[in-house]
Amino acid sequence: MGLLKLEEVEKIYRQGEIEVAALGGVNLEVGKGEFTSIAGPSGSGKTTLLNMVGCLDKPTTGEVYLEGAGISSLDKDQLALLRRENLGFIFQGYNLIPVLTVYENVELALKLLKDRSNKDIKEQVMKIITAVGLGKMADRKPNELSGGQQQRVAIARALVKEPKIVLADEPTANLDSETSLDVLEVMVEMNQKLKTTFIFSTHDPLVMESARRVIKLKDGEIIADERG
Amino acid sequence: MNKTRLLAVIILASILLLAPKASALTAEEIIERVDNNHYVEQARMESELVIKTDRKEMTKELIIYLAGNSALVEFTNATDKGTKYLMIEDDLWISFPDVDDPVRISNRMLEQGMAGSDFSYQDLMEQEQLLELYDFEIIDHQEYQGRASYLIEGVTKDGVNNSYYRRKLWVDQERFVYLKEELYSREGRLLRTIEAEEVEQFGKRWYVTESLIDYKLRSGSKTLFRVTGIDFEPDISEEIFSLQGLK
Amino acid sequence: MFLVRLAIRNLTRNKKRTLLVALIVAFGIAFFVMFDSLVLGLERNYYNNVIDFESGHLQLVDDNYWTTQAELPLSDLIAIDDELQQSLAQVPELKSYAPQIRFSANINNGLDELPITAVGVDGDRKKDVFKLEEHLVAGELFSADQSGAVLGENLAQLMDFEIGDYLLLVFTTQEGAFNTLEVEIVGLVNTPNPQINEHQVYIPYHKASTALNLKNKATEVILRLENNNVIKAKEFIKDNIIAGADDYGVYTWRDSAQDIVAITEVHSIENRIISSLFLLIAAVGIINVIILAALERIKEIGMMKAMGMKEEGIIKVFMIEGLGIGLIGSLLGSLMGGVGVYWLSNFGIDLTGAIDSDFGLPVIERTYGVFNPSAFTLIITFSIVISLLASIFPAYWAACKSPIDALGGTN
Repeated sequence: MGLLKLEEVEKIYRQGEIEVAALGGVNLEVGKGEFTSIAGPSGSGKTTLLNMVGCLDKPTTGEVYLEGAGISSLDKDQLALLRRENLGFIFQGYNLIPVLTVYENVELALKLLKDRSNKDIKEQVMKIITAVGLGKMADRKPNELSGGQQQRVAIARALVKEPKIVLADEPTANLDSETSLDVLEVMVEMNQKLKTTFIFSTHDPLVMESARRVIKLKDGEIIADERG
Repeated sequence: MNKTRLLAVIILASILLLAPKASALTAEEIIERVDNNHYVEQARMESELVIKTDRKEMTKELIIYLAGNSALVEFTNATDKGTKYLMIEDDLWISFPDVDDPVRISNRMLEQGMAGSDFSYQDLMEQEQLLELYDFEIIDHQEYQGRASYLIEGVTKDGVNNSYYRRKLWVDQERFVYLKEELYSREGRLLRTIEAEEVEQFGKRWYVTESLIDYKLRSGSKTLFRVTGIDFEPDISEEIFSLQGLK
Repeated sequence: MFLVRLAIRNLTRNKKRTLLVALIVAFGIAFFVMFDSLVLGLERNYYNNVIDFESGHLQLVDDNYWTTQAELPLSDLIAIDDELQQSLAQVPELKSYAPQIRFSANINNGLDELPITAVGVDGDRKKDVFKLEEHLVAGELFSADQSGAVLGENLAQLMDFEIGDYLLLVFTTQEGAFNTLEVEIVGLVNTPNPQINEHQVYIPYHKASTALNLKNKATEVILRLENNNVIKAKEFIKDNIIAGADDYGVYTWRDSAQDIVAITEVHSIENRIISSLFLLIAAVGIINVIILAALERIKEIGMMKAMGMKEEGIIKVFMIEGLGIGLIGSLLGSLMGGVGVYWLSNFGIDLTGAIDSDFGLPVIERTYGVFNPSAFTLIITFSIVISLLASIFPAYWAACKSPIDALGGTN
């Protein structure tokens, strides 16, 4: 069994009287160390799929297995615990906390784990910040950084706890092409160094090019799964 | 014949001359007659109160009902219309037309002049027969306002509660009404004078229908009390002398 | 601790908003303590008025007289005999006592009459038991053998009297007979107690007792102690004097001042209501601030949930923020209130005229505030509790957004 498995996952949303099927019977397996992109036009179900994979939402039918354990029977708090310990997130809006410094934003991820000593935390945070190239900016606040730098902080935050999977939703959407490349480089590096699995949704061709596996979605179903 | 007639005249004259001396009244008898005239068991009086001060003159019209120890005064002049005073037992109550409940006048207020006049609430409440209150003595015979009168002085009897410790009365010898009264405090200060301005006869009773009252401690004001109509046998129901009757 | 740090930093995001709500809390607190201080000051003034000029610390009075004293009857009196005087002299911590005869009379200047209360009391005693001497503006208090009257300056002016004039008192004795008393005015006073200044005339005891035919009797005996320790003295009187005379009773100054107790209670309630209104507005402010903050931070909240933070943590952050506003407000309020109370206690405020009818208490002199630490404690605690409570609902509301919705819905 791989790291992540989706089995006949369906997600149906109700909007008043109308039912919308965002995902219809998706089957997917993702292994460790993969660098996978999920591509598709808007409305294809990318974000919904990512939410399933990220244990942010539960399927209407079907099951999602993370390291062999199914998530559909877990409650809110249990899901949160799961996410805390295993998953990292990067979003297109960075979502950094503006009143915290770069260091503190990254540190937050570790503080939630509660079982690390301050010394360990410091070591790990500085390590990852340096790794994304922001070692000298540790005390800066997000509003003092460029878009690219902020996204790098988000990456650092997602990676600092060495999660099994990092999920990124349109990570380069708000960046120019040069910066996008930089950010991609970081993600690739991390993927190679730490063997962290990256799954991101995108319709940026640059990103799709860097990915070793591209899953194409249309109307809530996987229409292609290319490895290259 | 002349001698007999002369003797008859002399005897007649002496009898006539002696008559007053033979029937000389005691102070008590005089006062008894005064009380008979003044003391009213029951009455309904229409009256006027004219309060004259240096600055102005105020006239109030009242209807007074008397029965035994109770009295009801009702103002009928425009300014005070509807205001009533009720005296029952030892208490004085006032009721005003716009106010629901009557107000009891505290005893310390009884000394005050009623409605700004020269006589006090206390005076109004006193409806007693003088004979029971004072020991009287004839001091003199004087002429007052052209009428022959007895000057009688009364001192409060021991153990009796009375507003004016001492009184002097000028009593009309013919009609047995007071023509003038002087009211004194315990240590002899003249507090009030009452002068009869008009006296009328009702059947066998002579009654002072207009009196001028002067509170001596306050100069510059006098009060005229005038009775314009009086009924000594009125048809009054007991109910008007109650608090319920006031409302 | 991390959450606390986060919450504190969050408060700086929109300093104006935070400060505004904190100021509302601060004003509520400052108002409460200052008003409280003032009411206590007024109360103290009035109690002193009663003690210094009306009732002393204790009164020995016939129980029947006590219930009808507004009428100033001349019955149910205290008999002043040697035995009583000896017992009185032994009351613990006694400074002095004064038997007095109070009766209703009219003061008369030949033209007008005014109803007043006349008090027959020994000159010497009067000096020791009441604080009249300090407030003499002209002449002197009479001593036991003189025969003069002392009255308030206001009353004298009203009746056109000056020192050396003779005033006339018109009254009725116990038997209901009119009587008068002519007395020379030897002293004028101006006290903080308007009752004394405008409605009272003091004459020597023996004059009153003779004029009223009440030898060796008193309507009440006023006792003044060296200090405020009425309980011991009261017990002594109960055991030694009242025990022997059924109808006699001993009443403290507080019993005499029942109406003031009622009035100050009303003012305390007023204070609480007004301050509660302030705090209610502040609570609404806090709710508002937190909801706004939550709306602004909705993506962050979603992010934190995605990262695995439990709802509990998010609620805590917002509640600490709400509490923080309350604390800042409390600090500011304590400072403002502290300054205000300090100023009131040391410099006072002249309330004459401004509050006669409103407050229901006659006030003649400057009122000084009283520093009351428990008022501070009370209102600060209350403010903090309100801040906390106000933040619960919006914190829950903020925390309940599902991460997906928070982050931006489906795509």
